[in-house]
Amino acid sequence: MSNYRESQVRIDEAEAALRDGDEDRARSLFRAAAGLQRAFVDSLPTDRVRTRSIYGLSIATLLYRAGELEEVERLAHQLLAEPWIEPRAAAKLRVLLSQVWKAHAGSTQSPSRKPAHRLPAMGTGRLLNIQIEC
Amino acid sequence: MPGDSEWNLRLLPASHPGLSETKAAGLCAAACVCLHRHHRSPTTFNMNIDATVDSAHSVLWAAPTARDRNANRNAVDATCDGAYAIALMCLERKLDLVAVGRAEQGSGADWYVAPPGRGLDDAGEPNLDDPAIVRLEVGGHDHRSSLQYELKLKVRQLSAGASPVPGIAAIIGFKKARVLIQTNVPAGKSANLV
Repeated sequence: MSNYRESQVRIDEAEAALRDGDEDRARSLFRAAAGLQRAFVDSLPTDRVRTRSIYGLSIATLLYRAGELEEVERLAHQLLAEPWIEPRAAAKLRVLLSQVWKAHAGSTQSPSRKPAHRLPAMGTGRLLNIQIEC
Repeated sequence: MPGDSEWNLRLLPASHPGLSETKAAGLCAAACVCLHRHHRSPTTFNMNIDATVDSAHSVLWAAPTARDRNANRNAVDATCDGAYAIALMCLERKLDLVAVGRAEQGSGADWYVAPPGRGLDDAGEPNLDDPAIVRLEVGGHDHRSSLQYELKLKVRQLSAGASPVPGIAAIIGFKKARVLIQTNVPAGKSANLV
């Protein structure tokens, strides 16, 4: 199975783990998916700018969901420094960075005021409501 | 074949390179479970595309087995997966588009679709640099009166996604056996990722 296909399987498994309430397993699977997508992006020709931009952002988002905030920062800065990064992906990376910085700011508060870092409930395009729908 | 009057939900796996046989079979089983709540095969679906084209199509499907029903007892997941199967079948038949892969995190969409033979690179992976590729966002509903409103929400969600790829929104209503599709949703504006 290719890195891309395997990353999709890991993401499906991570979402299932989240639904089962197993956040540790979900983080581990999101981390694995990010690694696989990174290998996929690294294998792409340099002229595949849109694919590299979109999956670069995807890797950063997966790392965020894995709780790897410092890794998100490093990757986002690397991507933002690239001349080929597409404007929309760059804008979303900046949003992601600001969320990481807010999380860092929260972690410097006293333990009693420190918010728990919970995994964000975010699928690809999926919205879950209490009625039977998606 | 696009435009056929009678469609078979079981034929979905063969035509979509972005679906493994296992995944496609799972989506189709979920669709059959959702349809079986209200209908018997064949079921006539009414479809609107861009609020102008109105058509009716007879869909053949198999009554779910006990194992299918057990595997789809989570109604939310079943409705979502079943809606994927119906939406992908409709896009293939009406718009000649097939799934090439799941959309990535934060894209505001569920799938990437493209005309057959497009949207994939030599290794068979999604090629988002192909201008033929389109995002697909699907909403599934068991019983809801305001499907048009749900379509508007999905269009908004697509527009807010991080992706520069244009999109299609599809709403599936299982009880009403109704499909609403909005094509040519422009690529994203700014929105929160999480």
